[in-house]
Amino acid sequence: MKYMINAKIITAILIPIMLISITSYAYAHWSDSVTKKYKLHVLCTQTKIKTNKVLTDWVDDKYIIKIPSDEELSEMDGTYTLRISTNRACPGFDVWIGLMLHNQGALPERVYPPTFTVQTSPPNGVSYECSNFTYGIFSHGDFTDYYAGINRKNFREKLDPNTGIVGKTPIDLPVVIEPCEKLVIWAYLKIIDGPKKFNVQIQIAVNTELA
Amino acid sequence: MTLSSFGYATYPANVSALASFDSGEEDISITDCIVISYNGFIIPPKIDWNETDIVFEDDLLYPGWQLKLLTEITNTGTIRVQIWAEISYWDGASWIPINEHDLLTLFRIDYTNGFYNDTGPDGKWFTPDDTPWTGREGDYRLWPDPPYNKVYKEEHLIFDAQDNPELQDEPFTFKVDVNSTP
Repeated sequence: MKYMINAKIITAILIPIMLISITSYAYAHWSDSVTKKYKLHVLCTQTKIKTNKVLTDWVDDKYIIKIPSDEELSEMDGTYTLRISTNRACPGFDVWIGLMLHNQGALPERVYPPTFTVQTSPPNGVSYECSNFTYGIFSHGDFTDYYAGINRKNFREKLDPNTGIVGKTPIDLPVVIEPCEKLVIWAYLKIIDGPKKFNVQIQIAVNTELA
Repeated sequence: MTLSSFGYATYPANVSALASFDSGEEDISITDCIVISYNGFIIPPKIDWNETDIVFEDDLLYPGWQLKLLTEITNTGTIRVQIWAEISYWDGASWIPINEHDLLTLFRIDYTNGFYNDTGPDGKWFTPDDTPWTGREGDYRLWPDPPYNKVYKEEHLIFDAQDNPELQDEPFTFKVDVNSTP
């Protein structure tokens, strides 16, 4: 009787052990799987500042600092952010800033009107005037009269602070620009008067989204 | 597609240009002053000058008295400036602006002046071949960068008072301001 009891116990322990073993064996040989990897990237708009011009006859070009520089921008093939500065402004100083926006993506994008934010230091101590004009939509090399042909030597004749490019009509935003198409924005700033030491910052922001 | 559309709607991009303009410094200075010619009696001629002022004094004027004064003016600031000269005389209480014609009428000082680049081929100041200065771009502006940051001002004064004995023992003071503006 004593032996019978022992045999049952042994059997009871062995069976579960064998079952586990078989199960593991079955998994190893009789299962399969496929994997789907989702590599997702949230698409950004691709309208960038392709090139820019800063036109003034108050200072030489070497005193206009751009980040990225023209050379860097050429290598980058476009930028979302451009910084321009000089420390040689004075009352009467005026400047035209030309931006060429280029849709470098594969989808049409909607471009909204630029917003201008001007900050002066000392606050309210500097009087200024500013305006901006947008031209387009350009698809090929048809922007000569609107951008390429305007330079330091002729900008006084070509650009009017009240009307923009002389003889050309600006467009209204928003507009949708297709891939490879371009827009040109000309912004004008004139410092009318200010104290001995001053700073004027102007931010030109253009919002874009996929159309 | 859902993810993509969601992304499009919530991630509009922003293209921006930030332009920052700091004030420069407007400053012109007298950097040299030379008496080219003088036939008065004060030897050496009594002239004091610094960066901002030239004072010439002579109390022994006589008909035929002459002075040729050359001044080097330098743009020592960081912005371009337009310069011009302005004559005025002291009436005992304030400075009264006048022109060359008035200067001759009132004090019999025949005053001629001009801005020049250099001496011209003969290497001498106050000669007809001196090169008139018009500024780097012909707009009479003095730029801050060499070699366009210097201009030379010639001033020729002749006391033409042979027929004006009433001017004897009469002191008078006049000045020539060289002004600059951006």
